[in-house]
Amino acid sequence: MNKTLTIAQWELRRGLKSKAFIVSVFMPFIVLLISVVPSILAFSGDIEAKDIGIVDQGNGIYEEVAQHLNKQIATDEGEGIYSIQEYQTTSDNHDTLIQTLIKDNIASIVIVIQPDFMHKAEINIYHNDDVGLEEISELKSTMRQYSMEKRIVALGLTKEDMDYVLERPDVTVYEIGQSGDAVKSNLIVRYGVPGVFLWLLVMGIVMSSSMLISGVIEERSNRILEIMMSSIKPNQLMMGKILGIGMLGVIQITIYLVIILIFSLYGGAMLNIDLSPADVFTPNILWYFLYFIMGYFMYAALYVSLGSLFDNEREAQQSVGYLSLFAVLPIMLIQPIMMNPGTPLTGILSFIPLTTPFMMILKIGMLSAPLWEILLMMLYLVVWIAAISWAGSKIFRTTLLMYGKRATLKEIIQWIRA
Amino acid sequence: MLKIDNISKAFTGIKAVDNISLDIPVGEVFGFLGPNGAGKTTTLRMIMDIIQPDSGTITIDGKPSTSCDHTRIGYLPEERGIYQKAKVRDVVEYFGKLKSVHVSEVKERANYWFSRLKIQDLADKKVAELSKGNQQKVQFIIAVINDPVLMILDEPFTGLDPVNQKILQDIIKDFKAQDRTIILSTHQMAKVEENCDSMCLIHKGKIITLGKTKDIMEKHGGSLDKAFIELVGDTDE
Repeated sequence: MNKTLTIAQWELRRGLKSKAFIVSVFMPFIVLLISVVPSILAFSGDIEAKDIGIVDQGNGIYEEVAQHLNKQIATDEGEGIYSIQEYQTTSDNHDTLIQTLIKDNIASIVIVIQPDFMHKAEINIYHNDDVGLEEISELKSTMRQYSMEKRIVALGLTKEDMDYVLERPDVTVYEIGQSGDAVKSNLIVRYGVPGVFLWLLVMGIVMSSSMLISGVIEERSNRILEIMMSSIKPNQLMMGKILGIGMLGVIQITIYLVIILIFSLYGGAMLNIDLSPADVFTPNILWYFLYFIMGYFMYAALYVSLGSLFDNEREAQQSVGYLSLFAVLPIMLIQPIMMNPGTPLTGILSFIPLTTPFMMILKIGMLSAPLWEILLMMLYLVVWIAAISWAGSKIFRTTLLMYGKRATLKEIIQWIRA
Repeated sequence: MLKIDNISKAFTGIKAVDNISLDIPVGEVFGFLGPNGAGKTTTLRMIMDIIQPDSGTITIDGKPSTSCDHTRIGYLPEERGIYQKAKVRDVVEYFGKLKSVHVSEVKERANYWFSRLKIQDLADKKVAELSKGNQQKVQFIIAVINDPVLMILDEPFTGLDPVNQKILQDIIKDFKAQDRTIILSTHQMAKVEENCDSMCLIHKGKIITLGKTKDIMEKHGGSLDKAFIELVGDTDE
């Protein structure tokens, strides 16, 4: 046991000092920032001043539409952003005039209000390529609102009547779980937190895979293993490595928890959402924590076992890297699972050991998995981790002194059975 | 000290070691010679229980090698390699701990060997920053950090300059004086002549000569080089 702990300690120290580990800890947040920030920036830009043309085809509402636009799309001081100009077209020059207005930069946007607007409510919007999706969407909703207000008035009602009709009911969702108590549904607790843990586990595994493999490859290609095997047994070596690398996972998730705690304290105010540490740090977080560690241990055992089959890192990454696809699978399926968590897919994936930790995180969060299932699946994972480590040590012992020859699946099975 | 009784080992049907028997007493420096591919490294790996013989037995101090205390054996394999990014001191201490040497003891012994092999200034450098010869010294230290009673040195002089070869030879002499047993596998016949009390020459997995080094030399005109060429050449024909 002492030697196993010595190896674990060495692996842990080596891992903590490696750049790959530091990158793997922060990469999930960097990836998240890279994917979220640009879209936030893209959709939060202010609408810039533009020349807008309005062609009213005989409805006599140009003035009203212009006023409505100036009121709805305005600066903080309440001044209309657009410089609006009316244009008249005939059936002969309609298309060419609009094309000219846009092409010659006389107007960036031309809104054409089709004849018989009160009945048909048809509007065409033409724009040049400087106008983005967000601005178009804003214009569309402004014109939709104008159309509704116009019709409400035409029916003899007031704007207040319209607001009354359109007022959305305040819906509160309660969930009655195994305990039978009705608990107010919190989307952040139910979907957000397990989703974040799932993401962190996937990223943790994918990012650490190269570090896990390269450790074994270094020992093999530098023939360090031969010296090690003269002092210790292969199973001690395997257990030590898995334990050491698994401890890296524990440190990683602890760092994540601290980051999540900081985010839950200050992130709500920053992003203007209802979020508090009490929402995030529910009893479920203990299970997420444990499943994260077990998932990390299992992939560590797999990568260490299979890494010993290869002489160089490139070959190993190409072959073993496919395993990471299993880790990514739940991310790809997260949307259908979130839409319908009770589907058989969730059950099937939770029994495939490579996806069990991910699916259990989702099941605990979204389906309120019962305690017996949580504990049973944990035992199931422990058995798998032990089995992978045992098979790994068998492979390890055989491949230790085998260089330049790639093992076939048949050979690997033979070694495990031996 | 070491008794090898009729061991054989085959890889994919080819016999690498074929019925080898040896009895090496305590305090002897034993030369283990043979051309490339003769089965030397396979035999040494079997002694270290890294691979197991297909048949035959190996006993160390009367105990089967599979269950004996390997922490009292020093092993310098022919194929060298240590963690390149780690510090020299850390690597030596790590292997010392793996060989069950107490933490305080391992530090003391490491310092002794650093200074004896004249690399004390390099102890806190990364292995990758050391020359090949100095890395070799680090590996030698790893082999002796557990204060072994039986040492297996596979090509220990390779990569060392004459000065360092002399230092290593002096260490071997000291070990012999302390009644430690050493198996020395090398292609440098002069080193065997100088250091080994007895020796064997294996070829194609079989022992082709075994005895006192002096006797074998006398039989072949006073030179082991000659003995090697004659015996191995004879077998090849």
